[in-house]
Amino acid sequence: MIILGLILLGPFVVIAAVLGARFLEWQRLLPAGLPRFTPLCLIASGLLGSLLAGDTLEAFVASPIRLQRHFAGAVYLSPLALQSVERSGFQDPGTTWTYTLDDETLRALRARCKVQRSFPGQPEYCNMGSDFDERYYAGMGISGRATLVIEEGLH
Amino acid sequence: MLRAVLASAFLPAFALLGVVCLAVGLWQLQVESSVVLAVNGGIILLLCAHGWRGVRAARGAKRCGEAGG
Repeated sequence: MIILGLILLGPFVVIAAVLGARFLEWQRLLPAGLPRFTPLCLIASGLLGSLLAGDTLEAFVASPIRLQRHFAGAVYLSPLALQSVERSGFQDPGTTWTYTLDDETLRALRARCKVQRSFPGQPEYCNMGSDFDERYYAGMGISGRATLVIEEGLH
Repeated sequence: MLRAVLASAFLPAFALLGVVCLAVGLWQLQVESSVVLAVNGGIILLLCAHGWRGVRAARGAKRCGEAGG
């Protein structure tokens, strides 16, 4: 997904970097003595870095907070409690966030969820809510003893 | 004056961006096992260090020129 994004964004980033470096040079906004291609490379990698960092912060911070508010009515877990994130899919993108719960948060969330039947050998799943339509899905629940799973995507 | 201030802020601004990218990238590496952002942050910091050397060399040459002239 990230590689595809880089390939698609690459030409635009290079063009923006060339124009930006030219503009800064023309306006004499670059420090004297800077090696020739350094501003161009810095602007290109800075633009890419900004886009990637923005995407990462959106995926790690903003989206889980939005889904926690939607399904649990409040934000119970900070982004630093995030254990893993799995992003997948080209045509049907989906993201799964996994958090390890401490005892206090587990008790608070357990009071808001409904245990679902699970197949023998599979961990118990306590559902906190889910949204489905023909294209979109999202859900949140406690899997096993102390793992909060939030998922969202297209199908 | 404003130009000189903006020119002198060019490398520190990118160094700050590099540190932010590296920090977020290391978090991403831990949580999602993706190295792209951390590598990008490292490249920005290396480019800043490379640029810094050029700027310092130019300043040194200018100072030598002034002292000699």
